[in-house]
Amino acid sequence: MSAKKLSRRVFLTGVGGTMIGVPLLETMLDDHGEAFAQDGEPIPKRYVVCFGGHSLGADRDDVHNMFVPQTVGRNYDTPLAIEPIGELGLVDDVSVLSGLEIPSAFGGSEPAGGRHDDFHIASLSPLLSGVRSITGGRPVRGITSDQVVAQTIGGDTTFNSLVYRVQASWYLDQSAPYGRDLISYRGDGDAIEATVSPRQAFMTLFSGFTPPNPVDAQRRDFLLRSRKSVLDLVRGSYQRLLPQLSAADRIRLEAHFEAIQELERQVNAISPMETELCYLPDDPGADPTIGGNNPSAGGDGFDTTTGYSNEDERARLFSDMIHMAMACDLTRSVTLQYTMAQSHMNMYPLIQIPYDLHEIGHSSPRGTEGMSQGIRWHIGHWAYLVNKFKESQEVNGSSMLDNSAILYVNEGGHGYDPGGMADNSTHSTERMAMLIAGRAGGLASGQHIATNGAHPVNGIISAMQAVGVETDTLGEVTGNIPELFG
Amino acid sequence: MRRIAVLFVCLGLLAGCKGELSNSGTPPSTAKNYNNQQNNVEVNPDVLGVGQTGLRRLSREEYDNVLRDLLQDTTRSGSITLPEDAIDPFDNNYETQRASGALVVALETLATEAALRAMEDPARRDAIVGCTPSGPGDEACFREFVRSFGSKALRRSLTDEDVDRYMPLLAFGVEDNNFYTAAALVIQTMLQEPGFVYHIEKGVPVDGRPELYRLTQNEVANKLAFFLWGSMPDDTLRQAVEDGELGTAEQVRAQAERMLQDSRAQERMLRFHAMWFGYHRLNSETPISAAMLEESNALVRRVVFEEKRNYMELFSFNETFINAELATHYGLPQPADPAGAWVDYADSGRGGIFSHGTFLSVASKFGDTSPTQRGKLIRERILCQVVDLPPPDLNVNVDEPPTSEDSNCKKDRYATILEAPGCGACHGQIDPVGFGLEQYDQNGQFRTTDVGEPECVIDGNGTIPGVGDFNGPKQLGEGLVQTGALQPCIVRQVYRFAHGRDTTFDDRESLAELSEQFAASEYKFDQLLLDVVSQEAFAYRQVEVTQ
Repeated sequence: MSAKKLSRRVFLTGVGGTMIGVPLLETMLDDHGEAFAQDGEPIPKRYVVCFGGHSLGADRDDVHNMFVPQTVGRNYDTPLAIEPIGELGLVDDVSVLSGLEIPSAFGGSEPAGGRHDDFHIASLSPLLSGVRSITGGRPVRGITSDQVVAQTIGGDTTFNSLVYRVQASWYLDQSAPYGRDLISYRGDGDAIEATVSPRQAFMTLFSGFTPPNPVDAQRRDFLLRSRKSVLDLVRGSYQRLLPQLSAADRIRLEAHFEAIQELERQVNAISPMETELCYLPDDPGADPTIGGNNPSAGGDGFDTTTGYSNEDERARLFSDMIHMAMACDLTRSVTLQYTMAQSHMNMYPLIQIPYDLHEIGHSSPRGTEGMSQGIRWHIGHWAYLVNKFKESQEVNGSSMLDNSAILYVNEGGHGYDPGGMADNSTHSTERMAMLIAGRAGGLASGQHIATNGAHPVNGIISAMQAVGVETDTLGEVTGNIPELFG
Repeated sequence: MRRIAVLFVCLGLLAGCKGELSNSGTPPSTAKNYNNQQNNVEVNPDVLGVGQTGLRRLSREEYDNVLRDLLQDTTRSGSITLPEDAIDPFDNNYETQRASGALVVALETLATEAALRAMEDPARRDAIVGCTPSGPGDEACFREFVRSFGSKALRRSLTDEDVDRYMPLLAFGVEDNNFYTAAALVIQTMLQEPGFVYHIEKGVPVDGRPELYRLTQNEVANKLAFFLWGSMPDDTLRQAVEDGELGTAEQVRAQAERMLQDSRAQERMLRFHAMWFGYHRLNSETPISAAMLEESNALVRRVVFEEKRNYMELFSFNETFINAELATHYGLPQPADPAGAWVDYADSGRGGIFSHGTFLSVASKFGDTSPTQRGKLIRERILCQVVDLPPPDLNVNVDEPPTSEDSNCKKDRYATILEAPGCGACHGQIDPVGFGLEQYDQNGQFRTTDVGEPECVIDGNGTIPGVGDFNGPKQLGEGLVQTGALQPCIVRQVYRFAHGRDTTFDDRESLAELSEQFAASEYKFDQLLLDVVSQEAFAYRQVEVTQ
């Protein structure tokens, strides 16, 4: 890149025109379609994986889903589950991939990129890492795409990646989530625990902002220096203790020690500069109260007042913060889990169906229509996030969405369940679908692409390529979806 | 300590009852007892019944309790901000704890905010700091504060060298012209340190037993306080350590007896029961659920603390503490006081804690009671048996209620599982247990027909293979007590909670001894707690072997 690129904002100011609706000029892109800011620094690409812990239909209902558009190609229709995409005018910004499938073992051995027949949570490993699961109820067996992206394009951002979860609790008495709460992995079984507190996320992301008022700035400098001194002492305490522990305990405490080092690195990072795109968002205040457990999964006598921690508010707060963290280039890779796999979150406060999300799919009389209402809640928040990216203008005049890939993936599809040997089952990875928003790296958005049994990871690989990962493979799955670049 | 033969009995149950104990060699028995002057503890190289353990950290509940006792901070902020503990069945098992970035950032935020709150109210602040500074740079006062507060927060005495490490923080007080700015930074630091966050146990090496360590008196005090109170030691207990008066089992027992008088012990044991039976997070927002929680808490309080009855009565007690609304809900006679009073169950078929809405609410599925889940709950939690997951080569969908071509009745539908190839062996051990409670729905209400199927009569007959037939919660409780099936599991669950881990083969002598003592005490729960903490093995730890 030789000549200095023309900033659209400078250009617009020069002609005194409005900034709305001006097309991106060719001169602001380099030969590879990469966007550059005024100072020649490339506009960062961003990658967001959002996850819903649901399948697409309901048991015994022959309607497979209300998620996949009837029409293929551009200007597709938006059925019930993805209605918010239409409502927010995002059809041109979002591509729908349908007809996806994770192959099952069908009683034999699991194929490459496939899953164990026992459904929960065997789809997570092939879906998120492309590595086959070899038993049910076990963690993901390979590095997940968000971590590959973080390692590749994270650069010197303050947060190499962010992992958040909206569902605040497991909500069941008799068990623990055992991996249903974990969707980001550095490698085989090496999970990254999600932050669940929006308030915590706010403090972590935005405490580094330099206030414009000099007095406030001086105070902030004082607090930052004292915070660094405190962390220095804390790290020292762990360091001194480590050699005194047994080997097994040392391994445990080393993980803690390393997390402190990472926190120190983040605190020492240069604070973000306030711009029109990047500014200190509103303080979210105290976290919503965490609700009690669900004594029942749904139906008659279901307690509609428990099993819910205002996840609606939590989802909105996380969306706002993810948007701003990326606008400020604090991170380039984010994982947002709306609901745990096999989610036992009470859906009544959200969609007035007295069941938890998991049970809507299995036994609510509302069938696939009820399930789609539950999915629609997820997609509503996802579309809100996408729209925030769309409405945010980069320094070169493009929108954040032009430089991003925002995915929505979920736990299952609808069809044959090789575990329970039943048709029209939620315990199926046939007829899966996913959403990809954004135009990073030349992604062709705004299409419904009906695949013929492509692996969901083919879609994920496409999005990884779009944000700059030069790979054709994730785990055991190879190849992209060519139409996404056509 | 007497050696007693292994008491683990598989109760004659076949498939699904897996021995989880592994074999290990006999420990060497060579060196003589000696007194370790430095830590003033007896070290017995022949100690038996010490299972492997690892570094445990504060549960969310413990974190909030410690902030309450250390800083008079009642916000219970940890339970909102710290990552959720796995509760299976207890929240303090080190094997389920994960040190993560999410944990570390949460600890930092919590520490920073708790430190600021602690300095807000002058009276509270002065109580925490303990001296009045002559100015922002008062080194002597700062040093005294670091030493006295630090010994509580980090749960060990601080050396001069330890105290020196914090002294540079005083410069921030000078710069800010506020002594308490520096004091807050000390609190902010200590609340993130390993001595605060983790239960650090190093101990004294045991001669000839390289894997074994005798805990110091201070470490015993910490373990004792967190078991009985879910919190840090109080001044009396810390003074006992300082005076070297926590080196013998008798001294530990005496302290524990004192501690059991404290309301913190009641709260801790109510929580133990709630986690054990699975109702720890029953929604207390609705009046009926709140009344159910009070019902169970009242029974535990009465049996364990107020009247110190034979603990087995918890499972068959013929009275229950309910308010007017809950009496109507259950279809029981109204209490003398509408706000709550003891009501006689008479011949209602109810009796003991298994009749409570709390317990009955736990193991439901498919919008109804689940005989399988209830059977599993009783087999696993109440009888400490291992119920295997369905074998991987079996085609099952555990998220689907069973169906029958011939009948919509639940008993007939579940009977199809028993007939399905490969399923009956396990389900035959589980489902008949749950069917004995079928007349009680997941809200604790009595019923005689299936939900929405009035022609499907529920007979309420159940069987626990190896124990016998029963009908309803009272007979279940009585049967489990009479056959002796329950007692070893009670001991084991208390032991798990006390040690913050699952039991292992190496704990067998300790468990056997406790079972015998429990019987000898005529099943007094408070005596069991005292026996656990004054048992020799309580003061030892065996480190894990790494590959």
